[in-house]
Amino acid sequence: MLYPSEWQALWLTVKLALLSSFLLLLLTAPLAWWLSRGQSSGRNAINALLTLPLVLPPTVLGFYLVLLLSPDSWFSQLLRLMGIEALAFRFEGLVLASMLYSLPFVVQPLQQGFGQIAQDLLQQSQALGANRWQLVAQLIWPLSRPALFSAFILSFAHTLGEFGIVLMIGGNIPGQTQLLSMLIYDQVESLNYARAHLLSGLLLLFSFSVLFWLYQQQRGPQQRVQQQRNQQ
Amino acid sequence: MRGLKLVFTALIFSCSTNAAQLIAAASDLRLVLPVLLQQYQAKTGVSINAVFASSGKLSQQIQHGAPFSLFLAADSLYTNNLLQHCSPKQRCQTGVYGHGQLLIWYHHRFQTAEQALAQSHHIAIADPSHAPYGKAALAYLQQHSLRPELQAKIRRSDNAALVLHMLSTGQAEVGLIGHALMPAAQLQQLLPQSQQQQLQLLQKLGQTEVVPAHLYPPILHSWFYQADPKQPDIKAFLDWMQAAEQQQFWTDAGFKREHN
Amino acid sequence: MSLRLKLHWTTCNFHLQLELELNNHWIGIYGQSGSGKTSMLKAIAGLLPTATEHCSFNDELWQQGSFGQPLSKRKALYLAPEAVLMPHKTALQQLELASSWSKSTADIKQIIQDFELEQLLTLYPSQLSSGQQQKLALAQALIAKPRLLLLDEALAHLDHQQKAAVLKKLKLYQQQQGFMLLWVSHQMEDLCLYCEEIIWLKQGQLQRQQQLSSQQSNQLFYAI
Repeated sequence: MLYPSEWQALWLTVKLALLSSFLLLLLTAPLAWWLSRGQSSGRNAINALLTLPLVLPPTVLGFYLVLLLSPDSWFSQLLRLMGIEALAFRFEGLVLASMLYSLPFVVQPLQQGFGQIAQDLLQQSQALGANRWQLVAQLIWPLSRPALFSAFILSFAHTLGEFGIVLMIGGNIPGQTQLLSMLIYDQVESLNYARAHLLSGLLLLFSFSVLFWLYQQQRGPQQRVQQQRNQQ
Repeated sequence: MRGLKLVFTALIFSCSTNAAQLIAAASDLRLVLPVLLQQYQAKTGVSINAVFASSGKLSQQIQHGAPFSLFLAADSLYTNNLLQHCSPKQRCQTGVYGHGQLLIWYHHRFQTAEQALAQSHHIAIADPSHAPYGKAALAYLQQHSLRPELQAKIRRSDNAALVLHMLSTGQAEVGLIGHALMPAAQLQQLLPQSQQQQLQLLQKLGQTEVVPAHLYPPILHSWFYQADPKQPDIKAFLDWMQAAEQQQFWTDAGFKREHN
Repeated sequence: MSLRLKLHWTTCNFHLQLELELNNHWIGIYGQSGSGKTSMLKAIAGLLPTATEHCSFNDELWQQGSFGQPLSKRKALYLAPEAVLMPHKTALQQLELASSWSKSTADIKQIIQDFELEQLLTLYPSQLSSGQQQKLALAQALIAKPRLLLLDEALAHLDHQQKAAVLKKLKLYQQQQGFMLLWVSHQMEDLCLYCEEIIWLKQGQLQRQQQLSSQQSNQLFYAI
């Protein structure tokens, strides 16, 4: 049903979404934790900074990224010193871009989830003798799992829909930066409406399923456990 | 958990690409270039992919390091500009491979192109700021005697291909496009089914005329080439596509050859 | 066994100024709402570092200036009026976690039996009544073998009969483990029955500190 080039774009899209969401989660979790523990002007400033990608048009981010990633920028020269090629028009560059782009979609739910872990519970566990790792493994991790999960799904879904930035920095190169959204744009421009229909329908169906599943989950592991318990 | 780890390791290491041969081409070649590339593959077995966008965008991307060793632009302005930014050791070259022609398409309810220009509500052209055919179209409209009225009717779309959309969806009754987007019948037959259907639809809805060449500045289709060791076959393709055997193809695609 | 404490804390409508030394094992704290009882317990537990000028236990410095002994080293357990429990763990899991965290050798089975928790072991906190939650929190605290146990109305949701039974067992454990117990309660008769010393706070100040013999306790009870 799909041509190899379409499979490639689909796989690339899913790979980008998985990889950038996973990295984002890993990198921002400590930051979100710090942000969730209290109020201060420093925190507010960082919060504002992290929410910027939500308000700015993708063109702004795209423009800065084009400058940042181009081979002559200080960033690329720094990377070259570390033995890494310039990231422009490469998959790795897209990973970086979508991480920036999806930042608020990860930090916000994480922050909220972490915020719901009561301070007095943490303190009591410490007083009972729990060390840092025990706190993370037995208290914070299980209690924030729903938040981590929804942050991941949101970022994943958001990356699937990424277009503006990819258009600006991607270069639409098959196997490197040609995502499904770009391929659809391409097919529409080439008057290949049948393929565009197929790919758009696929993406529509997939996004709907992901979101539906997310809401199903959000109705809550907590609540479902409750129901099971009530049945017992 | 272990499964998840495996998946991610696979993800990280599957980044390697099979170094596809890539060329960048202006949007007006969107329909016909894939046909030419197919012919080339049939002949030599070498598979080359094309990436399309407006000439302005592509030249900007190449300037910022996009990995295209051959760029087929619709305006020599862009290739010359790239050449200037080239360092000697990059061994950049440019050349003109054809003269593009501007087509005017108008709805069947108008008798002539002149009448269509005078009576239509909207005239679709590509964005003159970065699409050469848009620039030519604008120049054509500006030299016209009805210039003030026409000016208000112009609707810009991002590139030449999108102009076809505005025409087929009825957003504009008149449009100015590159000839290569409406190639001769024998070349149209080689296009994929869905593209043929769209073009047939447009031909049913209206008719096209070639705009006389003296009414707009020449559209010099030029190539820009920089040697890239990762893409060794591109130069051969460049030579092949300019050879005499491909003359018929370019004529069918609506180009006048440089030496004519 | 001695606890030294010096508190100084001012917020917009509350002023706390306390300096005291406690040497008994079972100390009752009495006072109206807003007299500073909770703040005092929290300060000792290390939860109000800004209010605490000095706190030391058995000559071990817990709080002074910018220094604060980490909570996990104090082994001072504060039990709030509403028990603080892990929402995602069953009663048994909470007890086991407390045991592994504190590396304690306490006999979990014995404690479960003593506080009649057998029926609740598979239940989550949200399925327990507030009284049951308080019993569970107390059991958890005893498993961790604290050096100092701070009860802030932590038995208030139990009915009379249950409370009497729990207090009896608590007394037993206190003698066994030898911890110091500070107990905030509004029930003067309870305080008088169990405590060796009573502290009476009023508007953030120490109003009265008194050692009790059984006779005196009756007098104090009637005096109030």
